[in-house]
Amino acid sequence: MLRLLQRRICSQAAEKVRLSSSLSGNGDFPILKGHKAAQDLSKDTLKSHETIKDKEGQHKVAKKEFKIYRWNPDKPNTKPFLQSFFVDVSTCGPMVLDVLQKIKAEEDPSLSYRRSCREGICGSCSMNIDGTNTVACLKPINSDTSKPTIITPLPHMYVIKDLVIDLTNFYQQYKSVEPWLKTRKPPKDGREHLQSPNDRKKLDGLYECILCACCTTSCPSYWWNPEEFPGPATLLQAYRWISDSRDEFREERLQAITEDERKVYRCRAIKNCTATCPKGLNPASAILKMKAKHSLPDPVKRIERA
Amino acid sequence: MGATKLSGMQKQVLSLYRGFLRAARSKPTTEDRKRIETVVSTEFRKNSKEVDRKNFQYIEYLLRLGHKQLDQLKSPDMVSISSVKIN
Repeated sequence: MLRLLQRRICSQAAEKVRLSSSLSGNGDFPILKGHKAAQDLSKDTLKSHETIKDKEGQHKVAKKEFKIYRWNPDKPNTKPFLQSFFVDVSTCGPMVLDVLQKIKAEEDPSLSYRRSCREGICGSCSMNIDGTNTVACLKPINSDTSKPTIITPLPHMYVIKDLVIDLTNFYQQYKSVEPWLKTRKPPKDGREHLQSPNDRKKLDGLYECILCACCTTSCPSYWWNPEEFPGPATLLQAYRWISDSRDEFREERLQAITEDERKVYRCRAIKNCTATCPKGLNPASAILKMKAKHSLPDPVKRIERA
Repeated sequence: MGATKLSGMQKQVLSLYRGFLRAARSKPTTEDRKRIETVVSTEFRKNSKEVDRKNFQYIEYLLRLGHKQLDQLKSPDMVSISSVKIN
């Protein structure tokens, strides 16, 4: 009885997607104007949904294989392995997180993973899906049923259980950059530190970081020196505080991050971070700007405005 | 027992054990100290018998867990630790 109810609810959701895709042509959502990453994502999602629905309005059963990394510390003598799960993607939500929820609810409740907002803002569900580090709640399922999707935890990180990794080093490195406003004097009008809209525009592309650790765990320089090298996420946030006009410790912050060859200068411009960021941010350019600011202080202002 | 050279991992385990005993010494009452010492020593001795010497992944996992618990125990608000076995 419950299964029948489930199918009906799912078909209502599928109907809505069908309607919206027909309304907006081939997936051009006007509300997403100016957000290229979100537009690409919505096109991918619609494409994968198209392959699942049937012309008559009936459900096509489409079983896709998901190979998920498993390791249980309560069974210490078993080595880590990839377990296969077969999920009917036509009765499941569009994102990889929906698949994980479905597997945990119906097949194997012992599958462990972090998740919170399901909308790509908390950064909890970051994992490696088909070789790329992304957040599972923003990655549409590749509905090609002939190839399995491989889900593993973020690479080169210590595993606590299944897809849950140890991020304490990452958080400590973020704390070491002192990511809060530092001023010497109280605010001019006694209430708020004011900022002009142009100064606020300088923070665009820096403040959106959700600290998902996708970029940091995709950087080979971070793989080989995790204790020393802060990683692209931390350096992006360091640049966010350096370029904040309200902060009065800019010189000290820049000096702390560029003083030896273990912080900013460990970056080799590999650019894996920019390629993998699920929010479409550019840590590599921020690091380059910091290096430029260190070597030539004034001309960078002209380049930034262009 | 002391003749053969200890491997790096064995040294890490021993230094963690020493860290726990030192943290126990800094607690206020003697019965707190004894409780921590007994819990820690039974845990370490049980694992040394049950865990295979070559299972590096599990030993490293236990070391990381132990370091986190030691950091918690070092704070002056923590009075003692206890362990529960569920079958």
